[in-house]
Amino acid sequence: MSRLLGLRYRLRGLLRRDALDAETAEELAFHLERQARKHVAAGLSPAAAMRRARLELGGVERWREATADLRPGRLLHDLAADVRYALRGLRARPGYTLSALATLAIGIGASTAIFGIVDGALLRPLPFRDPGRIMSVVLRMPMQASQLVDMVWSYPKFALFRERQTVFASLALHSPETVVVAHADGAERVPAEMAGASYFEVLGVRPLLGRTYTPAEDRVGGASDVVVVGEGLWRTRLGADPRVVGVRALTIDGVARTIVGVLPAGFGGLSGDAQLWIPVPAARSAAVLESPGAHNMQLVARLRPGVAPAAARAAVAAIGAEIDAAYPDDGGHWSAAAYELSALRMTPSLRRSLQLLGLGVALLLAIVCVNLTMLLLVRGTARRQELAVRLALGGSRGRLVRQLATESLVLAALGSVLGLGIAVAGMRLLASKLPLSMPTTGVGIELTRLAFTGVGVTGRTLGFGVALTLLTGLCLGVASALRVAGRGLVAALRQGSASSVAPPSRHGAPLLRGGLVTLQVALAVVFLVVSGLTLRSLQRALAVPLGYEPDGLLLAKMTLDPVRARPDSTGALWQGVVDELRRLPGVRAIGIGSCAPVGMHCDGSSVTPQGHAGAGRVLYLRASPEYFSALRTPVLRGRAFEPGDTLRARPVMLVNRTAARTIWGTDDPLVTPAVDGERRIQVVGVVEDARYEDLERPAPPTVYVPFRGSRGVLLVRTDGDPAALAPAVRQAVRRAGAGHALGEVQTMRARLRDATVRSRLGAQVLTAFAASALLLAAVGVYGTLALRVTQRTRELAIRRALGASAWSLAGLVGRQAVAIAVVGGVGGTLAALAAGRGVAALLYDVRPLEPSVYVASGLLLLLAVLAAAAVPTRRSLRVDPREAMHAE
Amino acid sequence: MPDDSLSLIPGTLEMLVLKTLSLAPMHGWGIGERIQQLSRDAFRVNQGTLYPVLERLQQQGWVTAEWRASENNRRAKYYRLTRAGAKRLADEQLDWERSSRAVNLILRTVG
Repeated sequence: MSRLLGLRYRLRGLLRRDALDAETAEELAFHLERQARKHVAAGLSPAAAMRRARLELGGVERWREATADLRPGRLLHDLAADVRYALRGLRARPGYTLSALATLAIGIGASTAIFGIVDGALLRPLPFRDPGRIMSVVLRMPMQASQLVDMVWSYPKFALFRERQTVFASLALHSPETVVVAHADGAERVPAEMAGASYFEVLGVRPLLGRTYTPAEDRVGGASDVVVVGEGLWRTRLGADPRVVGVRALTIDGVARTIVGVLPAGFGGLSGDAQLWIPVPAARSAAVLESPGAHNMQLVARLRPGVAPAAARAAVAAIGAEIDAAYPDDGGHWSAAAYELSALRMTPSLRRSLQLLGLGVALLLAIVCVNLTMLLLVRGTARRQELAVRLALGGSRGRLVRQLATESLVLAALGSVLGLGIAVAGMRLLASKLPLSMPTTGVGIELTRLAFTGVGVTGRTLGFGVALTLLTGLCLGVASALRVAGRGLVAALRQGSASSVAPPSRHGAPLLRGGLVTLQVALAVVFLVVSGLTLRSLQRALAVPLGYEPDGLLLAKMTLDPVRARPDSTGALWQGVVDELRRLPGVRAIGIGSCAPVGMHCDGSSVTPQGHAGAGRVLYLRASPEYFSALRTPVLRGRAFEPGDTLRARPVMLVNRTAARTIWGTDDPLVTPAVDGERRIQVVGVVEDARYEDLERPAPPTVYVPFRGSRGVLLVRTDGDPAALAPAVRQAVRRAGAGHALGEVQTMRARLRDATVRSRLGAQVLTAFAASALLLAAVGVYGTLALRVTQRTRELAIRRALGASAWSLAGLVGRQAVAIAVVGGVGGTLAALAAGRGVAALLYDVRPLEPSVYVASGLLLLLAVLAAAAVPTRRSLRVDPREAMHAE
Repeated sequence: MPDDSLSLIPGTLEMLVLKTLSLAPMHGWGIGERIQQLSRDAFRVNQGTLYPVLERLQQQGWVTAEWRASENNRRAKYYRLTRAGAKRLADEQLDWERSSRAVNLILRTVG
């Protein structure tokens, strides 16, 4: 009962505050009246009696506060008042508020966005059960030429490894594949994985429906006509029908395979986007699986419980030596190694970029903190007296602290709302472009892509942003509170504003502050120069001729009908496709190549001209006769391929200009053939350099051999609008054969856009950093100068009164701005020179000493500092001499 | 006016207020006067602390208040003991008697 009454009373307090306040006032009035009457009765005059009554009640305000403090809802009410007060205070000082908001928004925005990326790409566990226990086991070729070879096993070597190993509970071969699935309405290229039966156990995935395949179905020489499908394909192609399991068959690469299970949504294997899984013998011929030299499979394994990764690494190395002994190689010793998946999830260069990004953010955050501290100092100095007066008038210290803390929290909250907005927008932008900006080659690239699929605006990221906000708010609040709690306040009151004549040493450390601002300016210069160099590099890279004509060109990856394609029939099948395409209006040329521009992964090889000692590494492409006319890559000397080239007894090849120059050197390629063991390969022509894999680097030495095989890239040159022609191309390929699978038909322009995303993205991120750093430095300069003017207002006023001209006073302020700009600028330039040297190595055709970049950076900096100095300087100009007198 | 009154023993004001209200509902000023009277002017209630105590007692649900006409027909806020308040008073009184007896025993102990 008493509880209920109490509660009702409290509720009333919350809801009907004003009524309660009025009641209190009335009650108080009644009390005073009665008490005064008592005193009158005792012989006092009415006025004296009232005074006495008031005194006895002991300070009306205090009692009111005391009762009110007990009042329910008091805290809420005060909070609302404090927030209102804070907002009013912030509105009254737009310079301070805007500076602080910009600083907070940039700091929180940038760090949250970058955290989101780093978290998704590097920190968050991979989407497998207990991923820390999964290891990738690799075989190392002696004198490995390319790191890709680091990953690869042949079946006999794997079998030996499986027999000897004791450290893994389960292990499975796997390999990303693209397979052709035949449907009633045509054929489709589907990302798939060849996977051993234990693959699913190793990764810890359970089927949504049905089962995964058994070791018996994965046995070499056994019947392996089964397939496991992903949830995505099951939904889009099989109508999410649970009855397909164990019944329906899919025609995969021309073979009917029964669906035995469906894996859950979100699982795409180690390659991240696989939708089909087929047993090892289904993807590799018996001949390949018997050959110890056919290294074309990767190996993943789950550690046996209780075995540490280090122990597994040692065991794997020991078995590696056994494998080397069992399969000796003249070229040197093979070995084996095991990596934890997390070590492979990012390519080294991407990891480095991300770490650099993290470093950049850390620097930015440091700048942010310095700025906020400085802004608070400015504000604090300006308010010292106000606070001191309020304390002296009996305001409670706790209440003042609360008010200041509220102001800081309101500021932090506003800043972080802006910051989170920036972060979300930035992440959206980055996440949409990241998959496109993936490199196409390198160790563990599938894993990298997989890791990046985790990048996005997630709860974790937002949580990080919110935590950062709270932390900032707390720090700001504590800093403000310390200002009140500090002993200096009363002293400030006692001294009047003496402190403003001689800047107080306690708050001084002006040297330190000046140093910090100068450091900020220097950092901004470094950011500016580095982003300037990157932009310049991008500009140069895009200005260089591509070596082909990107307009009016369509391209699509294609795989011939697996049922009909045999080594002796592929030529005729391709011809059939070309004939159909040639009937389309506006088509000028149709080329087929093993690789095409741009952003595809092309094979590499090496070539040795006759009489030369060493081999030169080259990009190695197969190209049809019309390939060069479709691309419009000029043939500089000799000729392109001719239809009969594949059939001739004497093998032929083409080289690009760079290969001719760097590999043949002074020899004429048309005269000096290349040698490959016993074979001599005649070079029949030299073609112009063309950029294939990426646009940021000059074309590497490239050789072309005549096209053969069942998969390639189709290039269609047209007079008309290439995008409009795409559906007709698709239909023409269907007419040539319903079993042919055509990938996405794209225009070359679209591919070029995608290919430059990475470098443009890098330049954009760097530019954003530079802009932030510059803005923050400007805010810092503003803060320092404003503080200086505030502290010295009285000094300036006295000087004015004594006859100093306004301009000489402005000079006092301006001088400091110039000093900061000069020292920071010079220091920053020196640091940028060092940084530029490191960065230039990654850039295209840019020297670290690019005068235009340095000049532009310097000018920008000067402008920013001047703009920042303008407001405080103007204020110093307007100092009124009378102010000096007023204040006393 | 010579001021030889005692200050209240800390913590007892609440009990005294409850006791006063157990005799009859009363307004704030009256409560203070009544305590002074009942203690034969030994205690003078610090008026500044009286109202916060009343506030607290209301929050606990031990007293309620209502507006009524006072002796001279002026609107005044009258406090009244609730049943829970009466129980609280009984408890406190018991505690007080016990502990004051104990204190007295100690103080009267000789040699």
